[in-house]
Amino acid sequence: MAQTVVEINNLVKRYKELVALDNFGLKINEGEIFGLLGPNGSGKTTTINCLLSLLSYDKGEIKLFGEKMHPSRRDLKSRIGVVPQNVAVFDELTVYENVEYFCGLYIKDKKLKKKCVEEAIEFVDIADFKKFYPKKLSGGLLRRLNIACGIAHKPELIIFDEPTVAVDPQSRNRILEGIAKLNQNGATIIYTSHYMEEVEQLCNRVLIMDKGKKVAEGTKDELKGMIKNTESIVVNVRRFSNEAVNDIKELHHVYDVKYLNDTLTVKCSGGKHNITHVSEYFEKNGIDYDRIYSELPTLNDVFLEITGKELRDKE
Amino acid sequence: MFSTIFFNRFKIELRNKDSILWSLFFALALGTLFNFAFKSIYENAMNTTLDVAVVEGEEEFGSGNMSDLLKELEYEDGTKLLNIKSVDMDEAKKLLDAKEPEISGIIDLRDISDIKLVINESGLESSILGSVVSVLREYSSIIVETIKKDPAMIDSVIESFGDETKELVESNGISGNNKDPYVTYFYNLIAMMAVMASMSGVRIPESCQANQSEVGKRVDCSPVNRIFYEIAGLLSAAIIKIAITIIGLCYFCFVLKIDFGGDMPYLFLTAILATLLGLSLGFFVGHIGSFTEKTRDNLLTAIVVGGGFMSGLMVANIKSLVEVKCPIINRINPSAVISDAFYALNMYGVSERYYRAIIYITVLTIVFTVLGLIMSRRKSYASL
Repeated sequence: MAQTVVEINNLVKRYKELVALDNFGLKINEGEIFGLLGPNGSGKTTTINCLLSLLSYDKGEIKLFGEKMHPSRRDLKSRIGVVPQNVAVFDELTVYENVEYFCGLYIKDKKLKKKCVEEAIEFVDIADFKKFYPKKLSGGLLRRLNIACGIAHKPELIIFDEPTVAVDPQSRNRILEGIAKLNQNGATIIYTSHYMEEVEQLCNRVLIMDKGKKVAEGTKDELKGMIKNTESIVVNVRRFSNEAVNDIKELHHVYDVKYLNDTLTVKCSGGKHNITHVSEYFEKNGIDYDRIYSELPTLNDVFLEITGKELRDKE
Repeated sequence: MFSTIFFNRFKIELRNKDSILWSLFFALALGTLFNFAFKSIYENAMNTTLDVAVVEGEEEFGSGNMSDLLKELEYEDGTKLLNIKSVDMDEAKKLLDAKEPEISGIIDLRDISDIKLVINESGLESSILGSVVSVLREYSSIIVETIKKDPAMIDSVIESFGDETKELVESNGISGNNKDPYVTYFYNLIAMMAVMASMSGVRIPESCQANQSEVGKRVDCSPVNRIFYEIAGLLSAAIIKIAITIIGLCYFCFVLKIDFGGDMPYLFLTAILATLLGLSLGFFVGHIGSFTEKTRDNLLTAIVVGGGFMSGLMVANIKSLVEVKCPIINRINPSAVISDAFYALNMYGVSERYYRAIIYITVLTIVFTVLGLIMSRRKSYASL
């Protein structure tokens, strides 16, 4: 059975009147890529900061590798790597020196340190920029340097706090591939984000939080199974009467129908041939349509249905 | 691990262009400017004969001889230092108070145990006269003592003064090496360099405290002992800041050829200790509250500039006023303590007052450093 790497029980954190974490709890097992998902201000970063003993909390318990975590547990801290949300490097040190510096806070042995630094630089693919100062790097390269600084000492648990914010798609893919590779190499990953596509692509298990509370937790399929919507049929059709909308609502497994901007969205719960039933209705009634397709629910649908709001801020 | 932190903090400090610019190049530029501006003004004033009224008394010994001594004073090139007008006090005051004064000051020798100098405005000339009068007072006290103990010796004593009058001009810095007021600007400049070290001090806690910077968050997550980290940072910053101060001092001494007097090793010692005080001040401020980098910089600037003002670096009389109204400020204000040490060294040499100032500097440095370290003990923050 996999070891529990992180265990949080009944965590309460208040900022004066605001309850940032409300009896929050989670369990992360060795080897997992655990996604912590939630909108801005939901408590993800607060959870991470409490986990790292940077923030004090009002109530609850945090255990790392089976042992209670507190600020002076340097032995536990040495097993953790952190990639903070904002790039945290020294402008006065080169790429190599930055990685070496942060690695040096964990590893004393010079030879081992050198090896780890070079591997980390190679891993995030910034070897060509070793002698560059951070100010000369692009946003994507900076993010990769930020990651190299957090992983060089080969931690067992790595926390990525929204590492792809303001990163171009190419760099984002590289970062996600890198995280998956780190996990393959044995690291347990905590990945916080409000980009559900990333979490969906990367994580084995996901916890959705909102207003400091756990809203849902499970594998992607488990989460999707928690909601009513199992399939959405989308039809691009130019004219569609209210009568026809009501007819569609009467079909088996259909629980919601919306027609907006020449697009008909039919939400189904259960059933295997929903798209066939919908297309048959169009043919029987001689209604022409441009395109018909089926969409499986996303984590955004899960979040939307559970909390009643969008996961990501409208951009 | 200590060496990793030490050497990297050293690199960070050395490559911090703003810090080097302000603490070294700005000071050097300002020193060069002072040298051009004030030295020429001062040299123009040098070797010019000052008109002075001397009011003599009627004592059997003393005032007449004193007046003779004054007449003998001359610069190295033979130019007379003083052009003496022997008049009574009323006439002297008329000359001094005239719309365009004919004299720079009045030396009142009517009572040689209490020689007075009357001037209307401060400046280089009054400063020179002040130096002359302070030496006359020393001589007068010797004469009074001699009259009391062995009146027969009085002639030979006065004769010996005559031999010493040339030395008087040189030894009291009247002959072109005047330490006051010209050199005072350089003392203030060194004090400024020292206090500027606080800008580096404040960066040390900033780089290892999660509530102050992103880098601080990263360091705080690591297993490194924060006090250990800060001591390594302090040491590296101290080396660089001391080096900067020494470079500045060497530039003033050997390039600009500023004559700081004869106590050079003590001057360097004072400058080094003052730099450490500046560094520890920044280190202490870096631990107060949980401000943003900008707010903290503003706070430090307010402390440094405010402290500089209170210590008289901008308006000379403020320090004396503070000493009367609230002397404790002069004891805890780093700028005041530093300027006091330089002033003591300048005016009194290596004296009790100088040692007292050095002790204040050392104690304040220790207090600021220890308080900073106590506040830095590992803790979780209520908010980030």
